Amino acid sequence: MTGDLTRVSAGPMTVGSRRHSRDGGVAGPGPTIGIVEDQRAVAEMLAEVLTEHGFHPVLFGPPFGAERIAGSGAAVLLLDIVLGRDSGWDLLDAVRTEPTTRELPTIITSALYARPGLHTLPAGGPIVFMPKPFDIDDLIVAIRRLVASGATRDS
Amino acid sequence: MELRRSAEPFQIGPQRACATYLLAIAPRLMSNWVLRVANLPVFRADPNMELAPLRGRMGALLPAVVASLVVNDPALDDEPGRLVETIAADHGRLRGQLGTPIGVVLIEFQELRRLVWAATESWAIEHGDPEAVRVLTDRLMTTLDRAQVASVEAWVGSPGVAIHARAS
Repeated sequence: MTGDLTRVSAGPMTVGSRRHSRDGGVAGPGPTIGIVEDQRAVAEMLAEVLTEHGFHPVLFGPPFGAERIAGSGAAVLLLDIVLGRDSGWDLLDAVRTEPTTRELPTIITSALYARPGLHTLPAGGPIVFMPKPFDIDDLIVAIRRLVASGATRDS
Repeated sequence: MELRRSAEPFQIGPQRACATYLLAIAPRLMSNWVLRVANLPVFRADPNMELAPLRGRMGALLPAVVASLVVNDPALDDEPGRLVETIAADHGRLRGQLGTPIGVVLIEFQELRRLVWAATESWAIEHGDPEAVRVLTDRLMTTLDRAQVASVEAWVGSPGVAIHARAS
């Protein structure tokens, strides 16, 4: 019934009928979207939906680390704040410390997210908060906007 | 005031259009259902659970429910309704085998009902056809009630499920 979530980031993974590459991504022409999510079922569902919308999802399971995210070339990061024993806030700090991902647009998702003001947001790229459960269409809209804003910044 | 039976034959045009819309957005509805159900403590407690067992048979149930809505008269053609019951029973049986509490199964159906109802309502607002939606919603609720009963009955009958008498 269950599998080791580590496989999501460290080895090949199948989402639906698609075979994922070494980093858990699906070969595709669209922008790469990093997914940091400790619930495997949610991560798989997000990967399916993003693939259907033309994105290239890359899943990151535990152990969570900013280095792998930096190496993925992600255009947008989906970050769940509650990561089992790990903290998404700590990971966000680490991502914002890496020079290559300091400006990475990030969508913070959490069922426990209440008031972002309780945390000091690190400087860097734009951050969008989406409390769970969000509508999947709203997520796609937010990703497209962030991808577009990144393209504008880069040009 | 005239009472209407849920199984009344309906004007197939608008209802079919709404059902077609529901079928088109079924994958999105299922994604939203997964996001909601995955938040339940029983599933949060198992972060390694894969998508397929989390979905159970709900992914097949939703299109079957929608298909059953466009039957002109369920009293004359109950085949789609029976298919809904069969799939819902499979789902309940799977949940029983996983040891999922019956309350969680009921919440799963409540979430599905909320999502489909909201989508039906949004279609009605856009197309301004409340009467079509009233009939469709009536039938939808009847079908989902039937699915829920089938699922619960199968859960109760699944191997490994023990019904304990409440201690007095």
